[in-house]
Amino acid sequence: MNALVGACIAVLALPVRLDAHAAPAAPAAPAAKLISITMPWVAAVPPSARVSAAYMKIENHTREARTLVGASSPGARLVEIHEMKMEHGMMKMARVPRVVIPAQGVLELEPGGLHLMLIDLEAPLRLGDTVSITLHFAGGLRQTATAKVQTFEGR
Amino acid sequence: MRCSMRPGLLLLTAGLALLLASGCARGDAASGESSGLRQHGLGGDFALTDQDGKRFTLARLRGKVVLLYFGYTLCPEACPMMMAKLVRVYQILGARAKDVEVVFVTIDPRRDTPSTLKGYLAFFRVPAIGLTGTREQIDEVVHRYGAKYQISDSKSAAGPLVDHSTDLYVVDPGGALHDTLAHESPPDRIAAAVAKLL
Repeated sequence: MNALVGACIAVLALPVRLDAHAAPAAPAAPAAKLISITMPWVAAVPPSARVSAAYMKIENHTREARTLVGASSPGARLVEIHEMKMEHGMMKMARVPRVVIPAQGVLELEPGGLHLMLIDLEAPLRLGDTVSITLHFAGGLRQTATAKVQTFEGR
Repeated sequence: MRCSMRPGLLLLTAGLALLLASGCARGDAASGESSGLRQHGLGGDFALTDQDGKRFTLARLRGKVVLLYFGYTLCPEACPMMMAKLVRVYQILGARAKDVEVVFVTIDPRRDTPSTLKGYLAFFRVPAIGLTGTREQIDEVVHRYGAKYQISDSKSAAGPLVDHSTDLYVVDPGGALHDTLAHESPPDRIAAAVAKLL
């Protein structure tokens, strides 16, 4: 019951969050109880690389489906949602515009599936560095995670 | 049925078409990680340009086991995963790794110049030769090994991306294609396939 009340409050609070976000000086609205992000990491790439991939587990604690529509990071000019899949013996990668996370559901961004593609990196990603990544959901909800730079072999 | 095949592999490459025409006579059922196709008609020598801008010939690596991979430097996942795996393979092989060479052929020569490849490969903790060439030269090598790729409209701001096969080709010290390992082969399997040939 408490959870339901919490979800209702959260929904009611949403316009406030949007307003807060519109003010440039306001900090990003926290939404930890609605969406949580665990184990965020970004793949270390050669210094010359323009792109890298970020992975994480996203949990939707609300009682309604939430749609991930994009992401942003101060570490990259832009961030897209990408999907990898094997098709006709080839690894295909393509942009996907949105991903729905069911109510109380979990979305895993992991190698071989979905990732966030960081495009035009602002600076080389060095091992052990951290990169802030903000997930954007339909309706204006945002959630920020701090992803650690790791190698695939370190996984 | 000794000759199992993934349906997707039936498509596209001239090398495979040739193979199918030959009847796929002796399937290598013992090699669980291989694509299930015999290597008849596939593989062989080729010449391209290395990461220092010098002419490279595969024949120069006679006496070594060559692990050949087709990728590109803008590849955010499959290629770094394979390179990470090869680091583990080298660790497993230890001193025997001196007789192994990793060869990374770009399938994106328009963007991957020798210097791009050099910077990219230097990052991974495994020695690797990076090769590029003209589109025609690369296509010939791709077909020769039964690999494939396709430049796709990814609708991404990253620009055109390249869909590509992600198999690892194991060339024996005599220069013949010995095995084709699936991308998901774990490092110990790759190391075992290499060790057999050393």
